[in-house]
Amino acid sequence: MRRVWPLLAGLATGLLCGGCGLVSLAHDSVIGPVSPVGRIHATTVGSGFRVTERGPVADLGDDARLRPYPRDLFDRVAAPHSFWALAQGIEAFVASVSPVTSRETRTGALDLAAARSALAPGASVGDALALLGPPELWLRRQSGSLLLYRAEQRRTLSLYVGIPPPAAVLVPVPGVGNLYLRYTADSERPEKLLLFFDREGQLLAASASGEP
Amino acid sequence: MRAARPASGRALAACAAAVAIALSGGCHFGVYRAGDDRFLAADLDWQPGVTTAREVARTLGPPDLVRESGPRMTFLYRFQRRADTRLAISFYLKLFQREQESQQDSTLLVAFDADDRLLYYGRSDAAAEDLAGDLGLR
Repeated sequence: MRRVWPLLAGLATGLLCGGCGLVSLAHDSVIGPVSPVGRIHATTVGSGFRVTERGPVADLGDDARLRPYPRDLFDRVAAPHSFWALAQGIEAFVASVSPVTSRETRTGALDLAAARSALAPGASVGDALALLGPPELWLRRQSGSLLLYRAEQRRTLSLYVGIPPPAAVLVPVPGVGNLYLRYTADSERPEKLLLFFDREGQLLAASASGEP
Repeated sequence: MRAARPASGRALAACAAAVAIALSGGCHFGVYRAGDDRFLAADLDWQPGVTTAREVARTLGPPDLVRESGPRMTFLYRFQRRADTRLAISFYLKLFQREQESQQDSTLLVAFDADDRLLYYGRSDAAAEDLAGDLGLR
């Protein structure tokens, strides 16, 4: 019997403070729009959980208000991509407490210099496909054909002066969390390669990003 | 021995620090750019029926989008600039919050005929790098 009480106490605490608990629902209804932690209920029991640069988000949609767990629970905690979300969350936290953050993300792989040197005028469509793989766009025209390859590079620079948000909660000075200034510069630059072929499939010209 | 700073000097420095903190406190300023903005500054002296798609690509680089509609082909170049400013004053809760976001999309559309010769083209205005506008100062 002694072991039952702690178990019941833990269960009651979970029910009161969990995602659909009274504390969470009361928090969201009363101070949700102005709370620094946002809306707890939607984030904990909503679907499509993901981590953005602003923190974790999920879509509550038309889920039941008293649903105690997310509809895609196993997808959230047990799928391989959930570990990726965890890594993103850790990265977002580290970035939020760092005064200077620089990040570079590449989508797709396109070595423009190697492609330009390997593909001389007269090369065939087969050579281009063997070297670069399938294009994003292959357009057959009356005058010939076009192949468009594309990759993307994203760079982010963030400067933060002040007390980081997680630390500000711990400093017992009222309003100390306001003492910050944040500047973020995001730039997305595509790397593209456009190949012009004649009717016989011989390369006529190539145009790459950053040229001339 | 260093001379003690007068009390009025200390008060002035403290006021300046307080004003600087009050002005900068709780501010976020972000800028996002996407695409290649070369087409905005390029001098486009293309002639319909004369200029070819290859010449356009040689001048501006590959387009962001290529579309085909019947015998016509369209090149689309895009550049996007977005700026957002946020001010949030909190005292355990967010007491005051103001957000402003401005976004400008610049595009160049170039249409070609079946022989890849220029039919027409149109370019939107350049996205102004307007810090005062981004900050909501005018």
